[in-house]
Formats: sequence, structure tokens, C-alpha cells
Amino acid sequence: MTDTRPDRDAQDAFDEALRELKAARSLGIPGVGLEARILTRVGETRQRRRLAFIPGSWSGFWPSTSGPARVVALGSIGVAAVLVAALVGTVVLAPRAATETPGAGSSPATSPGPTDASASNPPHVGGTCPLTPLTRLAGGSAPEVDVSGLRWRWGGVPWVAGAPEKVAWLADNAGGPEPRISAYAIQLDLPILVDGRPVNFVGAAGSAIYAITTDTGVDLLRLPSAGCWLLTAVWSQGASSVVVAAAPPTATASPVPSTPGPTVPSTQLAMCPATSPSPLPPPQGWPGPAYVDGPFRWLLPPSQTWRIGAEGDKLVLDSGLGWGAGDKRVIAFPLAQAAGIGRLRGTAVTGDTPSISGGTMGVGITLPARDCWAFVYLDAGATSTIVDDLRP
Amino acid sequence: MTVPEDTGKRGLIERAQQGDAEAFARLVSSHLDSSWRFVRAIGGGRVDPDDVVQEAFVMVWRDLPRLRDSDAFEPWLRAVLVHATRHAIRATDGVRLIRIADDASSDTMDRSARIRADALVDPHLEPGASLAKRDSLTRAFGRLSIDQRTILVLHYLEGGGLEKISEVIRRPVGTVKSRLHGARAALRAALSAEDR
Repeated sequence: MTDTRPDRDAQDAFDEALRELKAARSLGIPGVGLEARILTRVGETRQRRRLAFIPGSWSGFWPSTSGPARVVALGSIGVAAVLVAALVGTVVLAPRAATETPGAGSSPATSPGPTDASASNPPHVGGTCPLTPLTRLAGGSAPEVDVSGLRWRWGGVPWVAGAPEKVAWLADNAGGPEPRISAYAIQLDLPILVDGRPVNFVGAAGSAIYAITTDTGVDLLRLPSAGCWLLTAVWSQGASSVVVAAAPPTATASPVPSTPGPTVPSTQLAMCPATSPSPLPPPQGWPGPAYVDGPFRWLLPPSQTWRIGAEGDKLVLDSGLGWGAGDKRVIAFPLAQAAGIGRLRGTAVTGDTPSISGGTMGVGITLPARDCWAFVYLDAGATSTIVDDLRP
Repeated sequence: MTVPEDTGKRGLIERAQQGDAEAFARLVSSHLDSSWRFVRAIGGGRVDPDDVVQEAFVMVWRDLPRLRDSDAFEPWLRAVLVHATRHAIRATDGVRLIRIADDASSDTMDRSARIRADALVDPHLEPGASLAKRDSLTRAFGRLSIDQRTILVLHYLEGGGLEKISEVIRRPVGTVKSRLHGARAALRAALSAEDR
């Protein structure tokens, strides 16, 4: 008969290790003066107050820092009123929001809340803007999308070009407040439905990248022109993308091609928030790293040998969901720190038309420079986002 | 009249939430040692616990007004400590931390306490031999991910049940159970690797 008990020596070693761990609990003391240093720092730091930010109807469902399984707002909403920023385009530089309604986060919250409702976008029309499916309506009116470990919530009104849309980024896996979010917006050359008709508001030339950085977890985004927009949020724990449609400000607006606004100074990120490689090794023979985001596995060429400025390298995606019909694309763009609000210097790059074979998809993509790159896959039903550091 | 401890602590938290610095100082004082040890344990030797704890308490002060349930302070504090440690590890990725003691006495105390505890753990072992064993354990522990270290520390060092861990890591109890299982397996594997 086979002995299925754990190996006794290994078990002994394990038990001993646990005893050691317990013994170690009583060891060590904080450095001399630590308490005083903390109190000095605290004396220099203002508390974040629950200031008004979100409409009253949301108040019951705003994430709380209390209790289990509750989401944590990525950062405080307290100081948001003075840190509000907007994504702006060529002429959209409206004053920052100064008036907010009271009541944000004034009651405990679990997520989703008891009156949250399931939600859906209008049926997708082939070839049009692939709006990311809504996950729910928080509080019955605020659309929410859970994607790549991040929860996006916006104000419950249709996005309109030039009009501020309040967006909150919430993480349900955060161990505490994670205040810093960089949001990027890229217009896609895809039509949106206006009164049920597909209308193509041609994207800003060259796939301009608009960016803001917020340290509040809540911000006002102002998409500069009507059309289909890819929004990507990057934070210390990952990256997440959604696709939204911004309607023209007036029903009679004509689909005139927009032009990108002037660039704002930007700097390279000191630390590229690269996605952690998958714990599962890549398939045998694949020379580069593997990343997993949601049901998708990304296989990338090795960072240091990726051909820059030339065709040749392909990245590969596996989908745990299979591949449906319809438009699929991979978009890559360099991440940078904008010194203000507006357009970054680089442009987004779209991969070749994907070739699908045996459950995997190959996409050729030509990157113009070594940089910290975000890669976004999107189709009619999903997005997947990873970040890879290709800097030397 | 004696104020029940829970009520007293809750009162302190609520006063600190209102911006009472003295109440916050008392909170810091009563949680400093346990927080420091927690961070040292989950940091896997890759962060300076002094720095991490300092940043964590600044975060706690800043965001305390947003804590709606003062009874949830303990798990919330743990969650902030995990977050601050994770952040510090990311910031030092690729950098090996070599701590230069700015106060020799603290290291001396640390070492003497360690030797005393070694003797308590296994009176038949020479303190030095046990220290070597602990070094090996430290290295094995350092091989784990911060999530694995956190769950082991919460369970074995803090004596937390699945519910308590679930509150800290904000995952359902079922997930905690499976992660705990995975963390144990990872520690076993790491110990074996150290033995080889």
C-alpha cells in the first residue's frame, strides 16, 4: 500500500520553520526616534476630509475604507476639489470644476451596493466603436466596468465631447489607498452610433495620446472631440482599459476631422509600472516573457531583442474565451509623465490585422522607440492591458 | 470609572479622525511595535521597516477621517501596512537593501533578544546553530511573494483566523483558504530549496 502521508522530514522542517516564525515575532524593536519621526511627519500632513464630490445618489455606494471585501477608492476624494484636472484637447480648456455636490462617501458601502443593477450597453453593431460592456449600474445610475483589477465608475450621463465626465477608479484588491493614477486617452478611428446611425468622427491625426495624472482616484475627464475613445488607466498595481463613445456636443455637429492640440512637456517615467510576468512559464520554445491579464495571455518578444522601428516581431495572444467575430486590434502607446494636462509627444501605434491560428492570435507591431509601452488588446467584448519596459 | 478597553480605543480613533493629534500619537504608540514587526516579517528583508512604518502611519493619519467603522481599524491598519510594504518593495526592485544601523544599541538589542528567543525555541541547540537555521528560514521566507508572506504572517504570527485575514486582504474566506494552502506549499518548497 502506498503511504500518502506527507514526507515526515519535510513536515518536521515546516513545523520547525513555523515555530521559528512565531519566535521571531517577539524579536526586534523599531529604530530609536521612529515614533517622534512619525509624529513630526504627521504634524506636516493634512488629513483628507470627506469633502463633497459625488452626487448624492451615489453616497450609499461609495467605497469605504471599512470592513471586509470592500473596495477602496484609489486615493482620497477629499482633496479632489483642488486637484481636479481634465483631459483636454485643442480648444477644450474649460475651468476646472469648482462646484460639487455634497455627500460623497457619507455612508458605509459595500460593493456592489444593494440597489446596484446589472447593466448593458446598446447592442454592438459590427464595425462600430466596441464599447466595453458595463458590469453594473452602481446605485442604479452610475455605470461601472470591472476590468483588469480596476473598477471604473462614471457619472451616469453619456460622454459628450468637451464636457467633463466624472470618473472614479476603484480597486477591489488594494491593500490600502493607492492614490496615483495616470490616465491616457486615445481616439480610435471607428464610428460611434448617433441616433442609431454609425458616424465616424475621424480621430485626431496620428492617434494622439492625451494624458493626466491624478493623485485623488477621482477626476474629471474631458474628451476633446467626439468619437470612439480608448481610455487606459495605469497605476502601481497594473493597467486597465475601457472603450467609451463621446457624442458630439450638439446634435448637428458635423464629423469634421479633429486635429491634435499642442503637446505638453512630458518626461519619461522614472519607473515603468511593468506588468508582472505570469507565474506560469511561457510555452516551450517561446523566447520572451508571458503576461496574463484577465482571460488573455500575452507572449511578447524578449524586451532587449525587440526590433525597434522595423517589422519582424510579433506578439501573441491566447484567449481563454476563444475569439469571436468582429474587429480585433492591438494598440500600443508609450507611457510618460505629462507636466500638465494635454497631449503627449508620442503617438499610439496600431498592430497589423491579427492572424488567428489554433486558438492563438499573432499581431505584428512596429514600435518606433524603446520606451515604457502599454499594450491594449480590444475587441467587441473585452479589453486586456499590459505594460512592458523596453527601455535599454 | 474604568473605561472598557474597546470603548477607549474606539474613542481614541474617533478623536484622531477629528484631527486630534494627541489621540493619534497614542494610537501610534500602542501600535508601533506590532506594526514594525509585521512589516519586518512581510518585507522579506527587502525593506527598511522603520521607513515603511513611518510612511504607513502618515497614510493612516491622512486617510483616517475616511474610515467609517472604527471597529475596522485593526484590519485597515494591517492593510495599509501591507500596501506600504508592497510599495516600498516595488520602489527598491533590483536594489538590495543594506541597512546601516544608525544606532548600534538597537542592533545589539535585536541580536541579544534573538539569541534569548533561540534558546527558548530549542534549548538543546547552541544559539549560534539556531541562528544559522533562522538565516536559512529568513532566506526561504524571502523567496515567497509578499502576498504569501502576508498570509502566513497573519495566520501564524498574528494568530488570525480566516475571517480576520479576509478583512485585511479583502478577499473572500474561500480565497483566503486556498491562498493559505498555496503559501504553505510555497514555504515548504522554499525550505527544501534552502536545504539543498
